[in-house]
Amino acid sequence: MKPVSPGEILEFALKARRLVVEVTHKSGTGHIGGSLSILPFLTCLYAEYRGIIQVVLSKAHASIGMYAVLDVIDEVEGRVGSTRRLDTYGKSSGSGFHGHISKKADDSIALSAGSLGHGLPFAIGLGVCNYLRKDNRLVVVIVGDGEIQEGTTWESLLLLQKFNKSAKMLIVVDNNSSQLSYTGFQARWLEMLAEDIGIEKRRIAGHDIEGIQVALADAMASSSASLLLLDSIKGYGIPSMHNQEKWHAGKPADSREYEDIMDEIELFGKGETEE
Amino acid sequence: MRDAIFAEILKDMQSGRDVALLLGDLGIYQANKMLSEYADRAFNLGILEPSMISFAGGLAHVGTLPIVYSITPFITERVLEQIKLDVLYNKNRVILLSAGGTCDYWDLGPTHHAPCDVALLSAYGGMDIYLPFNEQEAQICYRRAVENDKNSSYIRLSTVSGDEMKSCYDDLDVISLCDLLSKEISLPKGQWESIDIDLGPDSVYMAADKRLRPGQGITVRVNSLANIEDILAWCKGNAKPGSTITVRAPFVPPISIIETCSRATRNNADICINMYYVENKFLDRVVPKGDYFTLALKCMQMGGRCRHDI
Repeated sequence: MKPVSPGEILEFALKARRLVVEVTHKSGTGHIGGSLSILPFLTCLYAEYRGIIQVVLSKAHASIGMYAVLDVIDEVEGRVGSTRRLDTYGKSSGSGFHGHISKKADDSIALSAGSLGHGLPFAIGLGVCNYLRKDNRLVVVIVGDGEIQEGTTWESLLLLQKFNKSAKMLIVVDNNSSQLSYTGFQARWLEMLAEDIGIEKRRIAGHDIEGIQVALADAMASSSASLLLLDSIKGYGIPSMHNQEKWHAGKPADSREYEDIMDEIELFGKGETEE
Repeated sequence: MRDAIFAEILKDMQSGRDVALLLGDLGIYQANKMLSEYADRAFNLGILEPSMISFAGGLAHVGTLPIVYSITPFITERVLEQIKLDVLYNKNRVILLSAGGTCDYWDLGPTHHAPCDVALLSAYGGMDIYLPFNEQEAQICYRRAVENDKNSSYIRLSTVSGDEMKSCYDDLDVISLCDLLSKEISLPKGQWESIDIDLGPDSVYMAADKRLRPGQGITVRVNSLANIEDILAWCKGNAKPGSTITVRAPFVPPISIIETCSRATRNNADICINMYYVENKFLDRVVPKGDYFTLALKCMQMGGRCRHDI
């Protein structure tokens, strides 16, 4: 583990954001909106903790965000030959990577996923097993705020209550509030239940880099489960996409729109760095 | 059968094998010793089967072998997506242990039946399916499931008792596959014209119906599809050309039997195979156990004319 400054994180995230749009445009597939809302978190996670984490991306449609971050970190770490994730993204046959997360993409990914509601109970099982094996890796499970409507979320919290003291894990809710049927209370109820069960919880903005770094450091130092609610922005980093439902699975219509979006990314990134 | 397998699981825990027992609020009294002495390996997780299967997938991801126990439809049909994705597609090895085979709970109504369990779980690959007849076979099946380091397993336990089996088989010469293959039974070679294969304990009710006993030969009890291949291989050297083989396999999808038999009888067109199974749609209705086999049978025959179309 090596400390990485917030400035470096912003730089990595900017590169990853470019990749998300570039690959989505090129392949004609991908979920830009939900990938970008969780991208700052993923960047913080992989920039500092790769190798000592097991990640379950339960909102698996954000795979392009994860792959982009992995590629950027690979480049930083001087790894070569791993760009196949992005080169073959959206090619469902053969050895290509389809639109939902595959554990073949990186050793840190514990579950190939896609159907919502599977990641949390899986991650709790993994966390409990790590405890039994005295394995100190942190299990990080990322769910969407829409996903937590699934019944397994609430079942899992009952499991978590049972195993709270023996599952070193961080449950991250990408609370971008943009599900079509969003009712607004799901994440709050989760927060209340976590409080009731006695799980450590924290609620910060999804792009608060320093806040995320502190939350990750605390989770890494803890031996029990904690909840991190990220109030995020769908399409974060591209203002014209911010919280626009059409960018849930939308892609640039043509080269001109693609160029405009890339310009927006540069401008936004510049502003973020200057802050 | 459940107690026999729990005893095996306990032995494994005592010997330090990396297994974990997950109960769906069922069998807690019988598992009391494990729950109290191996609290880090035996858990009563409660009534949350979908999460229990995914949880088991998480345990299996790092090498623990979870054994999930609950009532048949709740750990097969209800949780099919969790089994498909978090166990089979992700290659996380799990043992599913069902309480009460397909229609053991006929008196509780169709909510507690799982007429498609075997068909569904055999559809994706990567899942070995066992249908033991008695306690001894249940232990053998469990041991095979534990020692198979590749596939997940479904052990479909039944409440069919030894007494019921005895009454159904009373006038038949029944042997187990183990006995047959271990050659403890002395069978004159080349003299057998018909062999009946009973797959799984529910087949004993079929055996009770004399219309479904076309042969005058031996009846062999088997507890997995793979065993049928073993029998057919045995037949090549021990049965007369032109022999009839009858398979009584109540809940195995016909296509699976056809595939198995086709594979095993390739280049051996002399053997005629009759196959009996139960129509699934029939099981949507509540029928007393035992009766459904006599009322809802279908026969298929491979390699010759159909003599037993009931």
